Amino acid sequence: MKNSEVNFFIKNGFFKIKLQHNNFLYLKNKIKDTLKKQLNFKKINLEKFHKRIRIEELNDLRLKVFKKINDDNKFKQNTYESAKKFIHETVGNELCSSDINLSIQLPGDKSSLLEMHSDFFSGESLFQINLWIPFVNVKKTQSMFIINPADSLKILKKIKYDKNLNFDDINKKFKKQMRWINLKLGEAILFSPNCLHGNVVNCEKNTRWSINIRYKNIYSPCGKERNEKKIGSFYTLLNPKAVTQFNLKYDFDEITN
Amino acid sequence: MNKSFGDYYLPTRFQYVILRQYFNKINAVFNMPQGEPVFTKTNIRLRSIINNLKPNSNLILLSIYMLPENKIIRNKIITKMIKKKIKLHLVFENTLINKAKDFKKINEILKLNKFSQ
Repeated sequence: MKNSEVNFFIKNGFFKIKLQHNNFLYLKNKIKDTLKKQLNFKKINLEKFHKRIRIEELNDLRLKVFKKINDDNKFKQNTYESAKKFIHETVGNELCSSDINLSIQLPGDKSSLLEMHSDFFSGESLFQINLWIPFVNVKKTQSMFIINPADSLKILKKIKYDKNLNFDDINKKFKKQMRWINLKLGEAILFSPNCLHGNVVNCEKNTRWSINIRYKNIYSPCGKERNEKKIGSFYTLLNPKAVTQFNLKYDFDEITN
Repeated sequence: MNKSFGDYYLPTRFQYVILRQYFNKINAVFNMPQGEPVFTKTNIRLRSIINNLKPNSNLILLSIYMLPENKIIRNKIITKMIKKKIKLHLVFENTLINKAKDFKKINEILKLNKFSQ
């Protein structure tokens, strides 16, 4: 990453990347093939998917596809490979990663919303990066929004201390600070999920398909809460290096403790 | 909730399993809820949810200990629920609260359990 790109990330909390074409193609085809099998469709048009499914059927389907892609090691590997260089630049190269979340947002669907939040709301690490990959062109409300770190902190302080404020007030008051991410097919963003982000009802004409996955350096701190957001229950080891493997094999740590 | 509540801690994915089962039991549609931010005690999520609930709705909490620890916030929430005639389901306590006098018992239960700690 150039210095200017690092500075852009620090100021805005995200940066756009171009994914490795072959890896991206694998991911997109895998999703489409899984859908064909699940639904017994001959062709899948992701953008116009809302014309072929009802909102009530959506979550079941989403969970089935979620399971398929997470059971497929190749899918996880291709996701990583598609943005490897940038992930290494941001959180290092000895990594653990979360499950791959799948989001499907049909136009007008109010049931698949992910309101403004930060991932450390649930006690996740401050030191992770989130790779967000859409499988259709996205713009405006069909996409996701992010609020820059400085503004996020202002809002988070209010959330922390204001006993009368609620999320509706925040959404209205800080609408202007929401930056919508416009991306073309094959592009993605890496963003700090410490920044407030989320989505609203998709008011565009097309369905949004996207995945997101968190990457964290194995040795960076987890959240302070005593919860399950740890390696083994939330993060899976991705590529432990030789010294880590060595120390996993031999219990030198028990001598020094 | 991704932190302990009362004497309990349960990873969220298992909270969802229990909630999903409970929703099935009462024939309600389960949508994945968003959790309370772990770094604040203002109960912003719960307050936001209750603000948006329509009168006579159901609110399902895993436990009475998911209600605010802060008595002022708790009482405000309870008043709002009484006003909106919300039916409060407490799964672990196997309790359905839908009358004003029962809502008032919430504070008693929490207080009694503090005495016996």
